[in-house]
Amino acid sequence: MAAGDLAQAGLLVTRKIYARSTADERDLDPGEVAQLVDRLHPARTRARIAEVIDETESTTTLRIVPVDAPFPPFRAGQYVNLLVSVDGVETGRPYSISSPPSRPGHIDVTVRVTPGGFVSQYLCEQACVGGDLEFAGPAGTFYHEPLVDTDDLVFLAGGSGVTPFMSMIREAADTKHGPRMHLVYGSRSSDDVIFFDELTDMACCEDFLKVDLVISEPAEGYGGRCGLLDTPMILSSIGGIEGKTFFLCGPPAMYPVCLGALEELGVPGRRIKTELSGPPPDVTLMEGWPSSIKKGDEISVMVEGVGKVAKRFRASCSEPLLNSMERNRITVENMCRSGECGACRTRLVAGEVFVPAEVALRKADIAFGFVHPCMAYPASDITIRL
Amino acid sequence: MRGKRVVVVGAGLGGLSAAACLAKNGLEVDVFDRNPHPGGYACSFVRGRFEFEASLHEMSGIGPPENRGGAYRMLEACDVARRVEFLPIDEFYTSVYPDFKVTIPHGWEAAEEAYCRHFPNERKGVHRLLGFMKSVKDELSMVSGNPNAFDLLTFPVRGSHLIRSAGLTTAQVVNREISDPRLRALFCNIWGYYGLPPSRLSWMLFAIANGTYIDHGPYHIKGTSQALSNAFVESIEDNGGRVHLREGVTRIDVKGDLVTGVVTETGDEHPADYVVCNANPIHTCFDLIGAEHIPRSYLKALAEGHVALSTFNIYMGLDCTADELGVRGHEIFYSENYDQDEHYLAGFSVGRQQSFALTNYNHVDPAFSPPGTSVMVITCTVDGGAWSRVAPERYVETKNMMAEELLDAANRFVPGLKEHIEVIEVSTPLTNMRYSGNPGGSIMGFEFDVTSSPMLRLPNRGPLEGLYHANAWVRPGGGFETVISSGAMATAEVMKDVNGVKGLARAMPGFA
Repeated sequence: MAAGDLAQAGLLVTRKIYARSTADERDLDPGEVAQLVDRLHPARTRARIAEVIDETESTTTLRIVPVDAPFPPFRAGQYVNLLVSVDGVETGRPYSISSPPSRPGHIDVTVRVTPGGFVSQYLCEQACVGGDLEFAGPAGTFYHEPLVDTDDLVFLAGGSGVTPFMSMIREAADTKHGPRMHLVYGSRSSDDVIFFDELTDMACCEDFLKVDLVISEPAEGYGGRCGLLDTPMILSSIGGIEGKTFFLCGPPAMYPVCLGALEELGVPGRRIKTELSGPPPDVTLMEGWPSSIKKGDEISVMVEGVGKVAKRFRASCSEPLLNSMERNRITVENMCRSGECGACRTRLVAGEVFVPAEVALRKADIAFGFVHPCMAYPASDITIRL
Repeated sequence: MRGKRVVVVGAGLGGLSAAACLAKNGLEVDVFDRNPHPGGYACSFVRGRFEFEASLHEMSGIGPPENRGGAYRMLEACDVARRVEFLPIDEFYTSVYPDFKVTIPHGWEAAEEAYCRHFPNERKGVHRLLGFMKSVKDELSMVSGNPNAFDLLTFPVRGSHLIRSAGLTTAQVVNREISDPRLRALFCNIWGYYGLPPSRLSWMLFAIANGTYIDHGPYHIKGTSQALSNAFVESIEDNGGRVHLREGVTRIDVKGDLVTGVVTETGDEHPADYVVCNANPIHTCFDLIGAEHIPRSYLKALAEGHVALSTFNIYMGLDCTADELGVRGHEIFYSENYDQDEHYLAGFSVGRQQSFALTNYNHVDPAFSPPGTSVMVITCTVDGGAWSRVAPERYVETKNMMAEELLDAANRFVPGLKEHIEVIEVSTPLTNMRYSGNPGGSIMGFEFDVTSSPMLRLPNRGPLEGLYHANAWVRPGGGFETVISSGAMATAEVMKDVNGVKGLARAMPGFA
């Protein structure tokens, strides 16, 4: 046995020489990996605005088309992070894709002007046909996952939060294939309802779709349903919760109301999916906010690792650190801008930050002093390292 | 003798290991990686209220204080071990087969007893097999310290099991000691970790890797492998090095046959005396340097190896505990039959698999996920080639089709599993390619067939002066412990050059 083994060991030399001599480096395909990954997940995609569609007074759809490479595929409900330069500040904002994957060749992004939102204002007022845009993504986990979700979906939408649902609804209409969908869509006034005509038409013609519009600040004499998306409103719209998967997307204020309602109705956690909604409008009102810090208080931020020279600037405690960095011409990769994805992961070398409870950091990142600056608020003088 | 600036290309474990060793040796080290987090495959990701370990099932070479393994000693040497908490796993693996189910513990006697429990007639063969395995493992430890002249002279005698193992496949050794095909399958159940079925897998590699698990026991890293990667970064920076994330290397500059530095994606140039590549050598030679600068014989050597398997994973965050589902154990292999060649071949098409692993992380760490929940991952080893041919617009439906079949199979073994899934994420070889840049999405470099067993792989010294490799594709190979070792071995080569070692001594393989 041992002799046989030794003979095999000896033969190894011959086998190795043979393998080496018959190897041909032209069989290698070094560029393949990058090509395959780029088709699915390019780091950046260049696009051009082909159409600008005024949806309502406050809301505009930008229809963008590819410039060089075709757009990467996406799932209905995902978002892109539009990368813009506004007043010399380079930044990004994630917007849900409102067009469906079933219509390749373009991507629609529907933007509502937010009060004080300089990016949304820029996109709604200054972006025009022929203009160039870049985006990162598509990304996101807010989509119907047939592996585990039921086939009976309830979409709870608030204001511009209807956009990802439009992608899902349009895809189901185009492919004549997909789950049942019941959209319960809350808006402030009936003028504010985006895609009103399309939604009412589809609700009539498509078996899979039901639409309930709910107005919170109705005009005098408005005859439709009024109120918020609370327990009685949701229940009266959908009837029962059995066998349904709930998707929530809207302004931050909507989530406590809707999630409270779903909990009251007994919907299990695994049947609820919530879309990210960016930084809160007023972080000082959030649970855990240090009471000694007032809105508008400022501290000093020291940034190591920008070129060879450290950079220091003043920042507001009630603005996300990433936004302050961008104001000071320091850019970091970002995607979700809601604390989740980890693209902007940065080391906090010294000082303290406030992080809203739900921000999803890795345990090891917390232990070793990392934060997601898109949802981290400086609570003292801080030093960070890029 | 040149200066002391090192650039490490890639912050995967091999790169981090080399960087930590080199920084501790007093060199000026800069590590560059295009990702926002360090670790390569050694990382975690968060979805909803769950954090998932991306790759590690169980770590080898740690061991309890009275029996530390090679990995732990390397981590100690580069000032990383004290920053990480390791939790012992109380089993090696559990196997579920049509005819029986058994948990194999670690420890030589306990493992032998468990293997023989359903096969009492095979006790002698199992005993010899484990004995051979232990000898191979022990003899490797002898040569992987810093072998002196006496060690090398007496190696033909003291390393006889290692030498005898060199040309054999795992099946050649296992099959002559064990006759029941079911026990053969049970004994080699963990072949997926090494990427080839017993009929093709190097016995030397299997003996060393398996023997290490049995001897020291498998371990879990508290806080997932991200904690290990973060600990490496901290050690590197405490010892004067820097890790630059979100900044990948796009070019390695050469002058004649000497490497002079790198350029990163920001356009910045970083001159260096030594460049250690954690990136795979195919990317390094063709994309970063340019094939025209590399000797043709080296390019042929790159084409000689076969790319190892990749993985298809289903990461699940469940809204109930493992106990409530009746899942007990850490690493559970489910197989429909005993034909491991068939299981291997099934991975070459996109579709029904005949065996899979289920890793139950809350078993070793009850706090792995929030109270009342659990995390489980289904893993199959699959070939990346099949996935490269899927059109981008068909990718989601294709991966979901395969995931659905796997989930149904898992649900048969674990009734109720599907109904409790709160969060799900499916990864394929394309996912692996995205994060690692590895051809085929390979999780361990080149295959561990007999001609590519650890010491027969490409050396840690690269094809140009000042270029070195610390990754899964070169010595000693892929796997957490192995690639940390690769970093230590690359360091040893760099240090020879730093210290002006020449001639025969430079050519001798050494470990740090």
